[in-house]
Amino acid sequence: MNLLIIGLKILLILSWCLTALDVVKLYRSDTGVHMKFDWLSWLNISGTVGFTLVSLFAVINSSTYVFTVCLILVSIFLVWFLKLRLMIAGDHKVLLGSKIIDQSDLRKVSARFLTLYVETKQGTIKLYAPVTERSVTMQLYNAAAGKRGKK
Amino acid sequence: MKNESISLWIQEKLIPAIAKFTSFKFVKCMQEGVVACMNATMIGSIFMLLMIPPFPATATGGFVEAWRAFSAANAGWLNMGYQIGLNAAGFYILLGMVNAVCKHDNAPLVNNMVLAVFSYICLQCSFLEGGGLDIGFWGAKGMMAALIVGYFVPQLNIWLKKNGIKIRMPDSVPPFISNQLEEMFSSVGTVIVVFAVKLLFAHFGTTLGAFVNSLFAPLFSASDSLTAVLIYCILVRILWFFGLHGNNIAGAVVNVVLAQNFVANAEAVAAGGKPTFIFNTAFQNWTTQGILFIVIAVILVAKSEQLKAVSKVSLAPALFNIGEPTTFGLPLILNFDIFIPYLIVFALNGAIPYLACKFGFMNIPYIDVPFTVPAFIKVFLQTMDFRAIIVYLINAAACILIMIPAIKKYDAKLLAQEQADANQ
Repeated sequence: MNLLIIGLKILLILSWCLTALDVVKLYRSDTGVHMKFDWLSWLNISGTVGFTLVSLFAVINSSTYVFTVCLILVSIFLVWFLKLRLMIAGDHKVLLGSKIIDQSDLRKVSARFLTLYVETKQGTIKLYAPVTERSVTMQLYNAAAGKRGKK
Repeated sequence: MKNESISLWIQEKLIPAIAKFTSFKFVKCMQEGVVACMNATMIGSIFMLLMIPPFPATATGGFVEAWRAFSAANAGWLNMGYQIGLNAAGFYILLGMVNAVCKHDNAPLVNNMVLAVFSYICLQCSFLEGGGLDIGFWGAKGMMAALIVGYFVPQLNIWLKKNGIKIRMPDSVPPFISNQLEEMFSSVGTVIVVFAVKLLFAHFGTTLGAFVNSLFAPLFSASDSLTAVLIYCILVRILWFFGLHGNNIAGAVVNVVLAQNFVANAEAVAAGGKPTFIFNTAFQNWTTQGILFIVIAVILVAKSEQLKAVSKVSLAPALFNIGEPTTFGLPLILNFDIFIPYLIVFALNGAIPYLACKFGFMNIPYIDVPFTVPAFIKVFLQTMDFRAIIVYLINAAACILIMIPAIKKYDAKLLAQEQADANQ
């Protein structure tokens, strides 16, 4: 059980690393990338960070095995949920969940039931309640409408 | 005619007055300052929730026992996370306030931040006998002082820099050195003033925080009353009625009080007590739930194409507490046909949960949850009390019943209009 908890904690760290890797990839492949988030998105990130910290610091104790495992699993779920909702834009590219898309490939952007539907050359990407900033969404709309370079 | 004159008075007198008030630098900076502590309080809330399982002492069961065991095994660092996250909210407000002032005045941030933190510690904290720093005033008790220090210390420093002693350095001196020297004189002046204030308060046997809190004590006790809740709910909705973002405008002032009440509740829970302030940041969420009830009333009775279309578009966002499609689609703005029931519904949104908390029908909300979490889940998470869902359902039923006659009347008007348009 100790090994399982340690493994899950490592998996939790890896999940954050993978999320960070997506952002780093965007940074490296584009210019003008800003980590801008609106207030609600910050609260989402803070909540996930809070659960992650609690999970990572949790002592490994035989009386709390099951609770700790559940807590770490919830945290891993939250991190992946966050990872799949991230929306960050650079000057020419945009990170949609875990996919980096060239803004020239955007075809249409629409929203329904708190979900953003982004039609690209490669297919439609769905982002449930994107973790982003309003200006990024506007940038996407503009890019899809062919108005490039506006931020 | 009467409606037009009221509308005219509000547009010509009330709205400019409100706009002027919200454009005051202090109010603007205060808004930003209060927002600065939200992330930390969110993280701190999670630590606190896990540290203090939200069950009565008599509760038993596998899950309850597991949570208690987890809390006991991790008590030390869970408390540390709570202290750093939630119980230092005043300190984070200070940082947010300084940042807002510097941004507004285009002033250098680092020096002003250092000065403000220095002043806050100097004015608020005292040393413990063992040598540690007593940070008891960094939480709810220190919020008002944080706003004052965070605003006036950078202001004083900026003023002294503009009007105080200046030393002109030769051009050969690098800018970062000449800037530092220029800052030095204004900083020394600011520190002298801060110490003078500290000595003044010490002379009277108090601190800035304790003094400010005693001044604002009547406001805080008045803020946690049914009257205050009703005034807030009605004012916010009147502003929305005229197309103004009521929550943002009223929040400019109210959020400080609510945040302080929220952190004070958290401190009480962490100390093993019960939350005492009903009207707090978490409770505020209850006062915005009326939109969904209006949409449900529309779905139940609407026959006109316009209302049917609006209800289809508005339902999903309203489930997640997003009111704009309803506000602008129905519309609720300048719609005198449903104005009175609309106000009553939102007044009830404040009154029913307030009275339920007051008379012990449900726990006082003390956990902050993002506002987009569907209301029937959120009310439970905020209170950790299943009875909150019952209160929510009673509130919903009352509001829907109040809205139905008004919606019917408005719908009949729209239907007649649509039929007249079709006959033309």
